[in-house]
Amino acid sequence: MSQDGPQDLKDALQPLRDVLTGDGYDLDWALSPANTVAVKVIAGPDACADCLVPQPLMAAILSDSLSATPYELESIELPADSQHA
Amino acid sequence: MPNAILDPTGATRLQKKAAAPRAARRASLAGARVGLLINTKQNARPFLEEVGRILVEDHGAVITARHTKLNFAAPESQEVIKDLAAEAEVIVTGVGDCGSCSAAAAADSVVLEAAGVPVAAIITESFRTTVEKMAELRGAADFKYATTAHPVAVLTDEQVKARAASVIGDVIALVTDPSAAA
Repeated sequence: MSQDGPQDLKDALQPLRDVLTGDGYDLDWALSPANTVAVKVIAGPDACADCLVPQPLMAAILSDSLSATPYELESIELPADSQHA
Repeated sequence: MPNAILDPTGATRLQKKAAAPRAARRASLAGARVGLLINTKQNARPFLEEVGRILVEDHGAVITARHTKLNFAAPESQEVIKDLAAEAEVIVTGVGDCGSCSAAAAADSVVLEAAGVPVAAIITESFRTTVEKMAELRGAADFKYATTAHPVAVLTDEQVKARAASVIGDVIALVTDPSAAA
């Protein structure tokens, strides 16, 4: 996984990355040939373990983020020590 | 361990709900019983206490309930919501300055509104997306809330008071309707 990929994908995910930054997290992702996106939430050194939103809410936000692009959410991986992992 | 999502909308566990009811508003806060729902985030208590102090001293409200959440990341139980609705006519809650606590504040607000209690939730700017998505999923797509700059946790006592004063206008606008019958 990385933060590379088409510009429209990077642009679509940037607002959520900005939100996650507030709690010390960031995103990595991998785009498949079928245009599905596997997303991984990365904890920074000062990440707040209790602050991540529940996975269904994260999925809803990501799906909305991708709705105007050709890409679809495939999966989300949360940090192992997240309350919701 | 990866958390594969079978349904990317999360609909299996968190479905969108029908439009949630919104509480009727008072014309003003004069004489209103106000409750503070404090989420335990750093500086949330002094922030809400200062909001409460201003509502009492400048707007004639009475603080009749203070509830401290046990878990800032989780919505309150129906029992707590029922108690708050019995003890207060208006609720001020916050401060949503993280993803989970902002989402929980939105969820609490939607339930309290459905119970007939107008709510002013105070959220930091960084978590608008989180709040709005949670509210939408709970059936309150038009959910309105007050915002303050992020972060709040690092502010000094004096800065907290200044921030609290700066959101008073929004708090009052959220929980009152000047055109409502007095």
